[in-house]
Amino acid sequence: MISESLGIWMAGLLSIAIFSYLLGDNPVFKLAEHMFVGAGAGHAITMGFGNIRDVGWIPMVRDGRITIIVAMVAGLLLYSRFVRGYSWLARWGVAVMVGIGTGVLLRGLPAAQILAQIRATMIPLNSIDNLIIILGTLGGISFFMFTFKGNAATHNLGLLGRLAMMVCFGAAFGNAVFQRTGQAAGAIQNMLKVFGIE
Amino acid sequence: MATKTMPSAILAIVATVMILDNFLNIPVLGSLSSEIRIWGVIIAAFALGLASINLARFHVVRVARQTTDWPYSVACLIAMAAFGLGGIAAGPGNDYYRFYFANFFSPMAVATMGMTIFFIATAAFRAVTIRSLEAGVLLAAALVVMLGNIPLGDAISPHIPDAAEWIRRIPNMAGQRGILITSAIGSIAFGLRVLIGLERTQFGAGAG
Amino acid sequence: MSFADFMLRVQSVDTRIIRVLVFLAILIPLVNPLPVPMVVTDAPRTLYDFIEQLPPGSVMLVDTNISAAYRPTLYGTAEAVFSHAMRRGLRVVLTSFAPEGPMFNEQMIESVAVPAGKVYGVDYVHLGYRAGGEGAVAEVLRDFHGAYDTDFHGNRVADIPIMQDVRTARDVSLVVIHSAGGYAGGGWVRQAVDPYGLPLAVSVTGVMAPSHYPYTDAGQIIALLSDMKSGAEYETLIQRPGVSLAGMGAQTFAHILIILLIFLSNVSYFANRGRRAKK
Repeated sequence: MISESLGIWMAGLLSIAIFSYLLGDNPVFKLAEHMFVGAGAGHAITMGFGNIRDVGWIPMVRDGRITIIVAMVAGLLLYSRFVRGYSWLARWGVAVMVGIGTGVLLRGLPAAQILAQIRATMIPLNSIDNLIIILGTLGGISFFMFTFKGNAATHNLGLLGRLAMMVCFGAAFGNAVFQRTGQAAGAIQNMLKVFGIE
Repeated sequence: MATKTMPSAILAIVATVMILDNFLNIPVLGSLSSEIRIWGVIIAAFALGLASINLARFHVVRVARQTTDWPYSVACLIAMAAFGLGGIAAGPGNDYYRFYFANFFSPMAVATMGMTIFFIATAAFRAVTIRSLEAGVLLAAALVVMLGNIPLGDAISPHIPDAAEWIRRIPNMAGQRGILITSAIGSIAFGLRVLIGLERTQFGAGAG
Repeated sequence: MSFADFMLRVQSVDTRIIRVLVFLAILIPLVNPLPVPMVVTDAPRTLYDFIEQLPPGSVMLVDTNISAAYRPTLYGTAEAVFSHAMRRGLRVVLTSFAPEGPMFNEQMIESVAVPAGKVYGVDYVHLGYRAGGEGAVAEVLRDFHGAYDTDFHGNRVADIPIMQDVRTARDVSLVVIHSAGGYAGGGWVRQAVDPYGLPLAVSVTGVMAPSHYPYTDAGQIIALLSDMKSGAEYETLIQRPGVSLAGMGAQTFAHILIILLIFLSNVSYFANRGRRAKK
């Protein structure tokens, strides 16, 4: 039975409009695509505004947290890139953001991503699985070491690493098929709901 | 000095405060680190609008000059204004906003991403071939994982899902661990270069 | 016509025919649903068992880092885990560090918490979105009240009952993230697991899942859920069929078709290999 819900019709028709690209570029697809991009940009503005208001403006004005004005000014300066001759001012805001990202990353990476992983690779050589893990890990590391000239052993280890990475990419491809099929199924379900098929 | 050295100095100070706070239990350092992270939230929120403003500029110019496809730009700007201004005025929790997010924006996002399966299928038919040992290993892993992901794999043989899981847990994990460790080392090296000012690409052209 | 020539002609078929075949492979099972027997694997069962052993009243922190495009792949899992937590009497703190995440938190509240009669602010709370990625995660875990002055609906966090007991990461018993990109599991391992020792369960898209196995093997992630399949398994575990189970039938036919296409492609390649070598 044909649905009478505005939401279902909107979702179904817009999904069909996007999928129409599969038959070739056309005005219906272009319209939907442009509206999609605009809506996404609008949503980003909404969420950004909410954070500026709740994390910046209200604490600054209501609670008297004057230090927040530094962030508000730095954030506004990001938009100086649109003013000819003053775009260099944007670097101050970028500096704070990149500084935070760098600091947070540098303090977390060594323990979580290097030491813990090396510790997990220190396993007994008492099974094929363990051997594969150790050789695959060492091989992967060898493959990416470009800063010194290795010998035949490191070269061969690098080849083993390449094979391990091919397995990684194969697994990722297999999962990508699953993921994209799920998304396509979601889109087609939106179309079917118009006809009352859930 | 203001255009090049000061931003690098700010970056270095901010990053150093973040790192030291992790290792030293000094209350002042902790408070400063916390305050800086709050600044980061605010500045990142401002940055969210940057791409949108850029997009708006592009489409406004296209409409003003009435170049190719300018009517679509009008649609883009209307959608941006509706979600942007409507969201600011009513809030994202508003029933109407949630309705249009769920039934206007979300289905188009799903369809756009879902379309890629058709291109994957075409590529699989035209180009996914066993041209070398590496390609063969990749394809073998992909096929086992694909069969393991669907109930048919289990119907053919209960060993297929087990094989798929083994591929993920052992050789895939080993390769990914190698990538993870080396990317971490590379990130630390890059981070240190950024910290000491050797790397200025984050500040854009002309900052080096 | 030789076999090699025939395979070449097959491979040159119009792309639109392949697209129609893929469309039908997904459409037909959706119109005529197949009964899909779900075998529950280790990861969803591990998370299920972990939630089962948590005492009622324990706090579960959820990061809904779902983008709209990934709703079919991740939302089902998020909804199933949230439903289970509500059923077990856990107190759930919903956050998001992606702009579109809060919209899915609201959808989950509407479809799970409200029908179950759960009380906002007592059984669950939606804090909303915080920009800034991993830096924001670090700050939220250090001081919830400092990072969130108000919740998604504008209520003062200091006045919300559930938040009286949730001030830092040490008040949280389990972190579950649903992520479609960005810092994902790695970021939470760096900011939550390593500094605070928090149990972390990660639900990611299929493409991202293989890169998280090193964390699982190192014990940094207690359960790695991958895409719609894990969602379907979790829905089976909690006996609450949802969007993930509904999509599994379509997966089978599409996968068979793509495997067939890969097979035909390789048959053509090997049939024509001699011809290419001669050239």
